[in-house]
Amino acid sequence: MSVKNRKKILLVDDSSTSLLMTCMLLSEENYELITARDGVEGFHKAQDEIPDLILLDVVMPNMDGIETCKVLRACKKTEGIPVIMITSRGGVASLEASYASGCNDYVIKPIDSGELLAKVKNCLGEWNAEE
Amino acid sequence: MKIDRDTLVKAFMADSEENLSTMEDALTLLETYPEDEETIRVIFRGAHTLKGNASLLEFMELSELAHAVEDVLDRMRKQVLHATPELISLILRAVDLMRQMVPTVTDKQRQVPSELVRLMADLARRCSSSAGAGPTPAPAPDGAGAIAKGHGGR
Repeated sequence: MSVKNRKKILLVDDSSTSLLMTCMLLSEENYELITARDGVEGFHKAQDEIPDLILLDVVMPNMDGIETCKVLRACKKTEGIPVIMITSRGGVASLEASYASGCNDYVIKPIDSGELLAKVKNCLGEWNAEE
Repeated sequence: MKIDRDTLVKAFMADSEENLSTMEDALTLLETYPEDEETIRVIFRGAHTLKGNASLLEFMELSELAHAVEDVLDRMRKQVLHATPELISLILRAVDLMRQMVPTVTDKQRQVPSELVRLMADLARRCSSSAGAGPTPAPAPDGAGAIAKGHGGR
């Protein structure tokens, strides 16, 4: 895949450990990865960069993932960008709130690399019949 | 980039120090303003992030302690528990213990601190005393078993 055609993914998480881990998990797929440390920064970067996909942590300062997803959906520039919510184990209420906010899918922490890659590829429309 | 555990552990140490300092500062503030919801949310987020990071790297004793603190704070967020001086002091003890544990998480020879089991029990007791009025307590830590046996972190 040429650099020009690389898919761009925005990772939004207040934990640098978690961001680093997700970058490591996705780095071999030749995606362009950009990061933000809270929902407000994530929303601004989404507007500026128009990524192909956003991975959004739920619990964050300033604006949490649920609110950020609602704001992304309410904004013309970002309303169609797929969002995968990163949530904690056992948070059924959080899952319901995630879907209600307009996310496309979710991944539960600690992240399983195979599950994450499958969901990322699915949201990016990268599966084909031969795979 | 493959998974570089050493780099992740370094990031974890730095993140943890930042989270624990933020929690400590906010707990001090909470002593003066025990009803301040944003301060409680700040402490909750610190415990939540620490739990998630420790779990990511399979430092299970630390993750379970942070989880127990998070459960208490979740009840404070929902006003099922209130920020009494005693409860703030209990959480500060947990923050102190986590600060002691963080630098030793990769040490295979480390001993489980005797304070850990006692503190986990105290935190769980606070949650169970509020049972019925609020959310279901987190499963008493698988961790309790793992901790008692001295298993857990890697």
